[in-house]
Amino acid sequence: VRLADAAATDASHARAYLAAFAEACEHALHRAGAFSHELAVGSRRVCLQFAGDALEKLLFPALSHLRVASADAASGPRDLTIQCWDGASTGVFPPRFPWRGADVRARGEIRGYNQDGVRTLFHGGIAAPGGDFVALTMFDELTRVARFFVVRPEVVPWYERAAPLRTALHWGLRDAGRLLVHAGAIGSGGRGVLLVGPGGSGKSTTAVAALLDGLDYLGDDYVVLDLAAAEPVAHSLYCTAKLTSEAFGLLPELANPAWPASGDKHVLDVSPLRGADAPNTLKITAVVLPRLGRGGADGAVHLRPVKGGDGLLALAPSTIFQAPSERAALAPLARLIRTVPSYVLELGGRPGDAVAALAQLLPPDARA
Amino acid sequence: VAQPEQDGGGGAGQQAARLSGETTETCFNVDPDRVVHETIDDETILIQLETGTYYSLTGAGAEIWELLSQGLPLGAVASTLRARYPDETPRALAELDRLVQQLTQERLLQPASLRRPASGPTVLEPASNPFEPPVLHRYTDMEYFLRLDPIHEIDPTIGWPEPPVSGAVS
Repeated sequence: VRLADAAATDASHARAYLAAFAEACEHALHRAGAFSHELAVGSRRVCLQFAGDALEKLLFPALSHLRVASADAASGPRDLTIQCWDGASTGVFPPRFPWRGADVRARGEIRGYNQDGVRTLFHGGIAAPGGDFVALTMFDELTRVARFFVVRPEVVPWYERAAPLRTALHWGLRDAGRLLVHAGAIGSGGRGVLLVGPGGSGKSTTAVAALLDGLDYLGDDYVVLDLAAAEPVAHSLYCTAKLTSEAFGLLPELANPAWPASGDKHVLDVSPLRGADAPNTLKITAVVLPRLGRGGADGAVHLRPVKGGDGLLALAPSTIFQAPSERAALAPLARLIRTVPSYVLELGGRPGDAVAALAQLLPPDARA
Repeated sequence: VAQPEQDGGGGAGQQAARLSGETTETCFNVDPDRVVHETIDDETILIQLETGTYYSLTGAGAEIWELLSQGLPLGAVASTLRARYPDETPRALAELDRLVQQLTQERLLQPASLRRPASGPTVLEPASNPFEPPVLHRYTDMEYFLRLDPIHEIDPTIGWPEPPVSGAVS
C-alpha cells in the first residue's frame, strides 16, 4: 500500500510529511493489529504500540521491565506514545521521502524536517555493523507521538535491540531537567552512582558485576537523568548489557544467555538477574569513571576523587554527540557534576573488587 | 579515556600570526549555535557542536575565558590581569595574547563588532595564588559521530523507501 505522497509546501512541508507518515502508521496498526504496552520511566507514562508482533519481539524485551499494569496506566495521561511498524510484515510503507540525500545531515537529522514541532531522524550508515539500518523516526512535539518505521525486521541491528527506540525516547522524555545520558547506573538502598566513560572503559563489566553481587542495576550505557527534584535521580531504560567475550570470562557466574551482537560483543538480557521487584530509579550520589587499570589480571582496584571537570568531560561530549540536537545538555550535566562528587575507578582484573570499591560510595547498611 | 590531542602550553600552532586589527578595544563573543561551555572548579569545558571537538581550559584560562566570553574588551581583560597578578604582569599578558590567538583559531571565540557591557563583576583584588599559564586541552574522539553521515541513497525520480517488488501490496 502506498499512500498519497506528501505535498511539499513551503510553509509546513515537515508537518505535511509527518501527517502522511502518521497515516501510514495508523494504517499498519489497523492492518496488522496493535500490540500495546504501558511503560513508566520515573513519573512519565509511555505507551508503546507495535503493528503486529514482528518488531515487538525484537524491540520490546529490552524495555519490558518498565511495563506497568494497564489499570495503573489508565489512571493518568500519557506523556509519550511510540508507534512502530515495519513495511515487510504489514505491507504498508510510508510515502516516499521528499528530501534529497544531501539533506540527511550528521547523525541522520533531516534538514528542513526538524522544525514546526516536527523531529525527523534517518537511521542508518556506514558505521552500522553488519550493514545498513534503514529506518526513520519522526516525533510530533504537539501530540507527543513518536513513530518508528523500518523496512523489514531483519535489518534491525543488534545495538537497536539492546537499546531500542532511543531517539524516540530521547525526544519524548526530554525537558529542562530530564535527559537521556550516555552512562550506566548501579546502586543499592535507593542510592546509586553513574558510570561514565567511552566504550571499552569497563562500564558494562562493572555494572553487571555489581548486579551479580546483589546491587541494583539501572543500565550499562544509557539511563534517563532527572534533575527536577532536590536530589538528582536516574531512571532505568533498558534491561540489557553489552558485554565482550573477555567480560564474560571475567564473570564466570553468568550463564551466558546472550544474543549475538557484532564481533565479540554479546547482548545480555539482565531481567532474570534483576528480578521482578528491582527498582528502576535511584538517587545519584556520585559520578564514577571506570578506567582499565595498568596492573593486568593482578592489578589492584583503586577509587580516587577527581575534579568535576573530569566528570563533565567524560559525561557531556558523548551524551551530546550521540543524540540529535542535544546542545542544551551541557548546562544540566554541569549542574549534576556540581552537585555530586566525581571519582575515577581504576579497574583491576577482578570485577568483584571494583564492586567492593563502589560500595564505599553507597549507604553502608544498604547492601543486599 | 580520551586523551588530549595537544597541549596548549606550546608547540604546534603557536607560530601563527597575530590577529590583524586587534586592539585594546577589541572584544569577543561566543556563537551559541556553535559553542557551548561551562566552568566548574576553575576549569572550563568547551564543546564545538559543529565539529565534535571539545576542550578543557585550565590554569588562569578559566578566569580569562569568563572575562573574554562576557564581551570585556581586550584592554580591560589586560587591566584585570595586571591587578590580579601584579608581580607577574608581563607573563600574564603574554599568555593572554597567546590564549586569545588559540581561542580564535579554534573558533571558540569570535571578534565581536559591538562592545557589550560585561554581565558579571570583575575581580580586581590580587589573586591569592600565583599565575598559572592557561592550557587548552583539545579532544577529537567525538568527531567520529559527526563525520559518519548515514548512507541515504535516493532515486531522484522515485524517492525512498520503495516497497519490495515481490510481496508489494497495492
